[in-house]
Amino acid sequence: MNLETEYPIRTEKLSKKYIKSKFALNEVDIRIKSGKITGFLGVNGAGKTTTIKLLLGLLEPTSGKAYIFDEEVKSEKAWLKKYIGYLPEFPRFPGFLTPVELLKIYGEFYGMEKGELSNRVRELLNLVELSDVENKKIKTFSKGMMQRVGLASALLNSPPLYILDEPTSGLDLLGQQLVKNIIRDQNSQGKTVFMSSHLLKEVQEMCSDIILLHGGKVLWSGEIKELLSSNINTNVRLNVDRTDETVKLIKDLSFIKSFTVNGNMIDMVVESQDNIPEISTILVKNNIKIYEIKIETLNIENAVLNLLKGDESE
Amino acid sequence: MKVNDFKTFTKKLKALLKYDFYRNIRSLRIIIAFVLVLAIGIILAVLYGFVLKVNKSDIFIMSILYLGESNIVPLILGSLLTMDAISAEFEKGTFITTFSKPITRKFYYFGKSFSSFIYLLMEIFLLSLAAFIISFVFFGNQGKIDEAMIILSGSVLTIFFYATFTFALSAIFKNSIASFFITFGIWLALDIGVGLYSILYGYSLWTFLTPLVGETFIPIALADAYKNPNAIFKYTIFKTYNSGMTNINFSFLIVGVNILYIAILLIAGYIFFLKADIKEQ
Ligand SMILES: Nc1ncnc2c1ncn2[C@@H]1O[C@H](COP(=O)(O)OP(=O)(O)O)[C@@H](O)[C@H]1O
Ligand SMILES: [Mg+2]
Repeated sequence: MNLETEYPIRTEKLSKKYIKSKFALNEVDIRIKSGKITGFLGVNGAGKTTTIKLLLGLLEPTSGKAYIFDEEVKSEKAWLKKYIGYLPEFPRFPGFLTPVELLKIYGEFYGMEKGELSNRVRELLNLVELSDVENKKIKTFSKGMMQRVGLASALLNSPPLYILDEPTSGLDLLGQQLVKNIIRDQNSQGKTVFMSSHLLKEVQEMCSDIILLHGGKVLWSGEIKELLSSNINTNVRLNVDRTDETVKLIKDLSFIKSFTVNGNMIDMVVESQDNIPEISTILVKNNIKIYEIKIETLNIENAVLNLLKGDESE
Repeated sequence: MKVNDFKTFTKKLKALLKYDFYRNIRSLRIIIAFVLVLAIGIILAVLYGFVLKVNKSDIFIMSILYLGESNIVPLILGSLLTMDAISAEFEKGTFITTFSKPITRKFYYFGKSFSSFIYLLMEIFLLSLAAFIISFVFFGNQGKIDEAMIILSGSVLTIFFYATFTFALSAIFKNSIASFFITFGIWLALDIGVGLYSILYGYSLWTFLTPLVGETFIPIALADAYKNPNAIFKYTIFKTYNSGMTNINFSFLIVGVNILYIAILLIAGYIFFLKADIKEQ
């Protein structure tokens, strides 16, 4: 156990095969950096929830290991859960309890003191905007309200790490905003956040790092800005005065993957955005007039689609 | 165990008891079961006292005896309480949040069985208090409170057995309704089977030790052992069963065997519960 570790979450060849089905997760190695918000991106069925349940010891891995704060996850190490604020994909709570009763019972499971617990429960119900219904039975709650109870329960003992499975799902716009603000606020206090999502926009907006999971395998992981700038082909459109000469000058450049000529226009695919200054330098040196360089702004959507397409063609 | 560990352990256990308290007190099924058993008790007391004109000092004993001496009351009290003890959280998909808190499955399972026992004891206490008050008010000062207590402890074991049987099924099948009706079905089949057998061939020792059938002999066996420890245990319906064992030995045997049954059932349920996947719905 090491709360100061560089990677609060780490897995080694983590695999899970459900009975009578193929591998839901296949030798997954991930590392989540301390103090960051990392997005866990993937289409439905990619294996995000499976990974998360393995991280919490709710499922037994078929093979491989998971570590939380450098401590190997085992289902019997319940004490590890003191350090994780977990929000399930579909949080469900005993309907016969009110949120206040539920959170107090959970708090006692954490070993929290009575007075401290009472205050914390009030504070959290206020934060997730459930104070009005704090004495209503949970069975009368909507999905969105349930999600808020779940968030309050994850925040209860102020753990250093949050694992959130699709935290904004089932929420209206205001609810989503609230949840995002809470996550950002926790992160600004130095907490590590690992959140799964199938919404690219959300991940781009919230996270500094991403892990892209597809078909139970990690397709890509790293910083988002890295994903946007390198390793991914970029489409560039050049508008120049002498296309023939331009083609001659650039056709042997290794980073140019392909090009097509259309009148004054050259559409080309280059390895990365970083190649563009080089191209323009060559053209300027040879006195070719550049009227326009248009880079197809590579948003995360294209980047991820490229990765997914690349995976399928293999 | 260190002092601190013990403190957190008791705190968690208290939280689990509180959780079950809310669950029981807000469950219509459990309230109805309690009222039903209370009604049976009152009717029996009145029947013994006014209609059958039983010896005054026996009325209280007989109104207590009903708790454990038939199969119906343990089924209503014990099995109805524990039928969803473990399965409810599977059915409602709430384990995912429960087990994201720092409690182990072992703690949860045995904590739950402990809390079921505690709530059963509370129910039994209230029911026997009611029986006592009713027989006292209507039929005057009662003697033999000690004998009633012996019978009561036998009834507690009978009810605990039924409760544990259904509790284990609830962990094994993860289905509340099934747990109750499987208990009911097995009891019915065994009771008819053993009943027919004993009519035809008379009682033998295993009759008294058959799970779901033999438990109902515990209160009477204990009462006999209390009144007449060294007499030969006899059981008379249709044919006399004479074990050759003394009352006290027989009651040790039947109590011991049933405690063993309870332990085996608890462990069997636990093994299944440990292996069960936690799913969301
Ligand atoms: N309990 C289960 N039994 C069998 N297969 C499952 C179970 N849970 C998930 N799966 C399968 O595992 C794969 C990954 O699912 P999941 O982890 O839920 O993906 P995600 O959260 O990314 O949508 C899917 O193909 C899904 O059908
Ligand atoms: Mg999922």
